[in-house]
Amino acid sequence: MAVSAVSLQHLKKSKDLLCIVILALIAILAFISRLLSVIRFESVIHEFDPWFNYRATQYLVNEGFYKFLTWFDQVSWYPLGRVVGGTLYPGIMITSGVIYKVLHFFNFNIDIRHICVFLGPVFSGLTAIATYLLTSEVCTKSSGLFAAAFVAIAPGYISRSVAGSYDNEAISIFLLMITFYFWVKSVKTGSSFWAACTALFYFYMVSAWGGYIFIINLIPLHVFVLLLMGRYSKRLYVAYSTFYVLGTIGSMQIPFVGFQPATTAEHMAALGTFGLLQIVAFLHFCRTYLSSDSFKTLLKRFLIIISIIGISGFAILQKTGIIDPWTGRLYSLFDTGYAKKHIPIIASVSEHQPTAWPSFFFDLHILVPLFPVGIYFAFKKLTDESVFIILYGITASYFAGVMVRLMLTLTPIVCVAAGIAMSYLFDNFLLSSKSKTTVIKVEESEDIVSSAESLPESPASPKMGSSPTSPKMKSKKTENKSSILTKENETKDNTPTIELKLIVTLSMLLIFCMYVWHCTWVTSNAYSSPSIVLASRNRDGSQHIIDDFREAYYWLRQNSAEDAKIMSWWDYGYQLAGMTNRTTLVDNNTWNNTHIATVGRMLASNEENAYVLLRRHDVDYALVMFGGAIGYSGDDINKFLWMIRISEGVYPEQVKEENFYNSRGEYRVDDSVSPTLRDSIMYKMSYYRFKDLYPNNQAYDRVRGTPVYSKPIQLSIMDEVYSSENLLVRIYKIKKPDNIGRSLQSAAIFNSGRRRKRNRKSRKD
Amino acid sequence: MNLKYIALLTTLFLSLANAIEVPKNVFINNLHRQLDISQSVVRENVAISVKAKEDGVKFFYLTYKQDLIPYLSTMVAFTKVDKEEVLEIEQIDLEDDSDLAYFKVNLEKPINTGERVIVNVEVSIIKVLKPYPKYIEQNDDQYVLFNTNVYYLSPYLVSKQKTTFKIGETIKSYSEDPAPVKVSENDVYYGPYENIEPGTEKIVSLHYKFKGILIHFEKIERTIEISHWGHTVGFKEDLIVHHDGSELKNNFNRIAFQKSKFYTETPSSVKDMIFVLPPRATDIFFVDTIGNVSTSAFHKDETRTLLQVLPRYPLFGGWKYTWSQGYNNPLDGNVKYSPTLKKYVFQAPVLLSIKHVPVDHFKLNIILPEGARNVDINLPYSFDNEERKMTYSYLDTTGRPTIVLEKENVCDDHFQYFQVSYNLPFYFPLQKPLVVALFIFSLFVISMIWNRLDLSIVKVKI
Repeated sequence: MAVSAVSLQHLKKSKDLLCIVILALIAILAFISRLLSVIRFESVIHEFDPWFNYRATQYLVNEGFYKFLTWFDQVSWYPLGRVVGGTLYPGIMITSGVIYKVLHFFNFNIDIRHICVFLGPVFSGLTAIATYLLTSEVCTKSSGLFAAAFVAIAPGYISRSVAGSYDNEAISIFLLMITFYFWVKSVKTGSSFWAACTALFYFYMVSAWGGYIFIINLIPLHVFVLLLMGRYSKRLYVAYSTFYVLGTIGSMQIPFVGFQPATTAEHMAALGTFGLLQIVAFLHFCRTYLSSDSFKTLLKRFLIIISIIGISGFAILQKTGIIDPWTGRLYSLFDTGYAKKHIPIIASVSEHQPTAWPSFFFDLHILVPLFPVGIYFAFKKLTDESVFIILYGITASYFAGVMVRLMLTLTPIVCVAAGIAMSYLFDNFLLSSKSKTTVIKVEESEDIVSSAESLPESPASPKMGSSPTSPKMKSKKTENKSSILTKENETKDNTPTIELKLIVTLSMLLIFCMYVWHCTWVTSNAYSSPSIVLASRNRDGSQHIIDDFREAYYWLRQNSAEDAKIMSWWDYGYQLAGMTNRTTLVDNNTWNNTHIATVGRMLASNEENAYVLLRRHDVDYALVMFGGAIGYSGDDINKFLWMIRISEGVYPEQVKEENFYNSRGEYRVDDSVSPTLRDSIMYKMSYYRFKDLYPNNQAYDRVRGTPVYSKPIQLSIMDEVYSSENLLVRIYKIKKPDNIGRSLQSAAIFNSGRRRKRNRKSRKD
Repeated sequence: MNLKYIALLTTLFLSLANAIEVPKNVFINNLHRQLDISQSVVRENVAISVKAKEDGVKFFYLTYKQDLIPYLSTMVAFTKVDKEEVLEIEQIDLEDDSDLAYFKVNLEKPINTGERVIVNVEVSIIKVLKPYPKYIEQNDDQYVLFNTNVYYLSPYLVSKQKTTFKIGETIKSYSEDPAPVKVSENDVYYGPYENIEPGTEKIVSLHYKFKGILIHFEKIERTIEISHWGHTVGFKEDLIVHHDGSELKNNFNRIAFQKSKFYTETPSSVKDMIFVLPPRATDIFFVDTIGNVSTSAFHKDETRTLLQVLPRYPLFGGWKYTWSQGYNNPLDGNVKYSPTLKKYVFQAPVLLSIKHVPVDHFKLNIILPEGARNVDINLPYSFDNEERKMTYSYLDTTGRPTIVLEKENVCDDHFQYFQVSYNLPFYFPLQKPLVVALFIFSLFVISMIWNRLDLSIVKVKI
């Protein structure tokens, strides 16, 4: 304690500098670790949804902001079209657009594609900083650095933010964390400035991702729980009132959201809490004029009555239809079986499935056991902020368990909690001045994580002792608690011996190394594939690239009429629009279930019925993915049952799932194939001419692992116009109706009679 | 039908009446016309022996059908004595719609009565080969049809003429009229014919197997960027290629195509295109609108670099493909400081393309370093359009002078070098660092002001 004031200040300055340097390194690490896909493949937009975002960004950059907001897209959802400007979250496009404009203003002529590709990694670096800010606001700076280091490479977050994964989530996690940071800060300070910042970033978040619902429910929940805990304060009142009013007005500026904050059930909790807070504030105002006992009874009764009135009023409003009922996607969050029963289109998407247990470990690794530890410490030092952390942790882990996709919202809080836990652990086991040797060792063995853990800790030690001199003003309660804590720490400090400290520190270090190794491995193996380019290994170990998707898309782009309409399953809609620039019937914006079901019905129908439907929808080309030749398991035959289920939901008379199973109730493609499946154009388009590839009628489907139906497939309503190199994408052109009014089948039979003769002749030649 | 012919004849007559008066002061006493039709750029080499009927003949005329003019790529005339010296050719502008176009060839020195001079006229004609039959099977060979006037269209009397067609492949059929016609190996000989009146026409057709690749570039845009800071010259080309061959009768059958790899070829298809790059080409890329094309390959040796462009799909008749390719070359091989001119001189080929493949529309952008002055360009032939503008790129403040050149109907005769010379200002090495330094300095100033600003309403005491 005998440190002079000057050297203490010096220490603090160098500590701040270290902090900034470490944080910058973490941010750079977060950026770099996401570039594997660019290094391995190229700077290309990944998967499905990013292709739409990319296309929309191009539109924004080329056509300008106002045209973008009023964009009616005629090339999708033919013949309906789509009001794009009013049905998307424009945040990510506007972000890239602004970056593009700024860079071009300074004559940095970077292609918009590269901005889109690298947006995710850049924002991940910012996420690390935002996580640091949030955690250091809740706990200490060192825990903040831990959390930042964790979140920088956590696979659960990398999965949605690698270079090229240009999706809403790429920027939303940053916005989520920064909004929460400002919220915590505004609750802590009671400053309306910070609350306005919260509202501002909340507005940004609303513009960027539908997951803003999480914020607008979590913050009211936090307020509500604080009220229940009797932690009402003027700070809370100022923070929430400012945030709610500004944030709601802001969110209503987004065309897609519009009046939803006033009419839909998802937003009602926030409104209710806002009302409740006003009442509580009023009660507190009353308290100054009442005795404490009578006030408490008044408060309790008032609360109960208000909540009953509120909930019942809400229920009545919802019944009468003034407030919209919950959407199906939200229902499926509470009843995991709901989607499969009622909305198969949601259940058919793999990322909407409930999370399997191993994927928690896969995405979070050691953070899984550290997470409850952090929550425990948050409980131990119960402040307004740590209540927030606890609530966030509990709700996010529930939602992550329901839907794989929501693992993303869980990851940051897990990192925050783990950061808190680690910081406490090292506070206790690295504290003593005797253990300087270990500190040095730590520094040598690992650069970023270890520097994040060890360096700020040693200067933190005098601070712990001199807690009364800390500049921050704390409420009395917390001060008491922290002093208890420090006492506990001191008593604990005496117990662990140097050996124990060494063992704990080294073992934690080992675990960190494993974490880093695991994250790198997962990133490189699971999350860095663009999925539009497939990579395999040749026998000599060299990389073989399967580029069938782009090959076929580019063929369509160059060699089909500009107004051609392409029918395919909705999965490929965005890619088709982005890469072929042609009109599609359905795409990944699954807003019209009937239209999707109609496409499913086309694919499931026999040729005669399909032709009527295809003609009715002006279809020029039909496109299927077929993996049987190279063993690509995500192909259309494997997805076919979902297509049938979705169309059965709309056309129960025409499409029946059981017809597609054979007599033993199996879904087979070999000789025991069910006649309905065999006659469906999906089956025909997939296996047409496939047998020619193999000699002696030994066609073998490498995905299903079976031989295929042995009789040749007759396809008379369409012509194969292109198939990609590995037969992965097959494109068919729909024939025009017969000139003399025959059905196309009879015309084909007539022609084949002639052709067969000609073939024989040519063979003799 | 008859009416139509009459109408046609009258218009012909009228147009001839409106055409220019060609002085009959010369006649052609001998003419040998050779046409190489084995590649998609047809090369016509006409050796004309011009004999004067008057004293002091300074020029004579060539005529071409007006509807052939859009397909003419180059036209060069020279006398046999001095092949280096090229004769001046000017096209006569006609006010009326005549079906003939006249070119005036200025002789080196006037010729007198009875004297003769042999002039060689080399013309390259593009896109005149027609695929026939129009639809073929995937494994069929490519056959083309070539129609032309067997007589050399001339405003003068031609005493004697021969026409030779070089085909280079098996011929399927040819017009046997007007006799005599002779076929030997892969050539067809028409003639000799005697005393052909001016304007005589007799269309002959040749139908033969085509050995070349029947494609053309709809557009090539070449951008050359000279960077003294990066010490490189960047070359980039955006290309649109179109296959002009016969279309597939039964659409593309991938499975048959994959199997045919093992025992037959698909002769009409174009699977790759090879571009010859300079020897020290680095950072080669080959991309199209939707990303890198992973199928390409390149081969490097000391004298050149070969870029093998494999499109995403094999090209069949009627198919189209677009892409961009480019490379960097070190500055020192391309730009030299000329002490006599006291200028930097940059030399490069106008165009990098494939032999025997015509280009409809060619655009060349030459981007010089920022601040380049006294820019002079020396072109080997004239362009249709020339424009100067400024381009702004990384760390630019005053912009880079850019020369934009455009030309229609380009073929491999245009693969020649051009030179650009320019001066750089003395402050050139300082400009960019100064800009960066100023920018950072202004950031510091802003942050200085920002830190000293106090916008709070209430002073909070700590």
